[in-house]
Amino acid sequence: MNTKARIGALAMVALMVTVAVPVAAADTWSDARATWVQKKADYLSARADALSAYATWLQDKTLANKKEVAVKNGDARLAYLELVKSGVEMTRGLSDDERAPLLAELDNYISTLQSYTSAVQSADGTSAIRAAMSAAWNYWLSIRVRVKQISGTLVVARAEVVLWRVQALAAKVEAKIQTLKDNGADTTQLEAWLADFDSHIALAQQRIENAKLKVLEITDNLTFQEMYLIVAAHAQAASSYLKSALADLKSILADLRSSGYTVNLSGAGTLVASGSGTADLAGTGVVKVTAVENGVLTVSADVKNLKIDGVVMKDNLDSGQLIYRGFSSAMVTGTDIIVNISGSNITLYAHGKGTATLTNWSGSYRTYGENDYDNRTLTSAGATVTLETGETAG
Amino acid sequence: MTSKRLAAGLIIIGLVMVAAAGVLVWYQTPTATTTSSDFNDVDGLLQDLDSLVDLENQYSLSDMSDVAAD
Repeated sequence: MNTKARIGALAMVALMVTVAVPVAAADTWSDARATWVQKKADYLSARADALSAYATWLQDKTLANKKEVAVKNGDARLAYLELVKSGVEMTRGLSDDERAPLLAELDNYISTLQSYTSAVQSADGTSAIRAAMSAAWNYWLSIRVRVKQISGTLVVARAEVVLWRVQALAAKVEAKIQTLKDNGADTTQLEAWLADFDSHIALAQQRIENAKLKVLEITDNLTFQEMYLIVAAHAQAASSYLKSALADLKSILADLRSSGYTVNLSGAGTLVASGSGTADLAGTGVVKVTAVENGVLTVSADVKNLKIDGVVMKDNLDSGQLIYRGFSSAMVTGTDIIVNISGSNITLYAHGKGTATLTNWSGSYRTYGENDYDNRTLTSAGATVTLETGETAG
Repeated sequence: MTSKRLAAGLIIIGLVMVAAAGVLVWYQTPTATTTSSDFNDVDGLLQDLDSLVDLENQYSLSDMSDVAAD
């Protein structure tokens, strides 16, 4: 191959890889979703077989039929565990640190249950069959509550990721509206929609918090199903509110674009952090801080949309920045904003595009970016998060 | 000659892929007020949530009696 042909081929291979990689990344979740759909079909089929065997046994209560029911029940439970495992794999919002132990735990349940089901299958003689069936049933009793709790965890994780992703997108819209307002545009209708959006988000968040608390109550064989149904009811309500919030956001975006404004929603994420220390944020979007003790907030003087409560003292710094001491909660919205927050017991939400650097941070944080869902606990350490990707450096 | 054919083949495949990607990008680029593609990801996440809640509400192994317990 001559040099030109070689360079041309190499360039084309590089181009092909460049094109192929994002497509492959985008397929990861859709592949996982397709697997989950298949596992769901497998489970429903296995469950139908188990119910059919049970109906047969009710008609003809022989030991052979009873054994068949136990084996089919074992198969259905295995299919159910595979379904939950697949759900863990496809649930976005879980960090790798959360996902890995859940998968290991479910793998352990699956392999153990397989051995119990095999023992029933191979048991011979009345007493051996009864003993094997009893052992399999008792094992299932010992794990089914925990498996249900994992399912509840997945429901909450799925609801939370929608909550934070929607707010990440909304933050870019809010920053745009703020810019328009700063430039003298009439944003009354847009702000009304935003208020509607915020109320739906608040309702969804409340339901998700309720669901999260209820998951912790999935603890015993008597009430676990009842508790789970409450979790599911909260999740359904949260989903409904989130759909309303999304509809509000779509209305805002359609209105902005029909007025000729450009709003690009791609490149947005959320950071949720709690703890004590210092947070430096730079970017476009919304920063909210609640429940601060000994709080100090510094922003550039040109920040127009700052809502702040509980301020004890406000000063102008030589640098031109404004400093607020003793504040208890605050919200800043805008484009290219720079915010510094320090204090104790901070709950911080940053939505949009940019970076958040946590310094001497004692606490935890989660990211909900386009690429990554990080979940870390820090002890007097530092980390820099890129909001739009959700990735952490340091 | 074989190497040249290989290079030409790679170039053709690459051009086809680039063209396909171009069509894909064009297809997904929102028009003035079309907003659905902006929310594909979130819509998918909502579907994931609903599908899990629906499944678990309708079908649960925990309600299946076991003859071993009879």
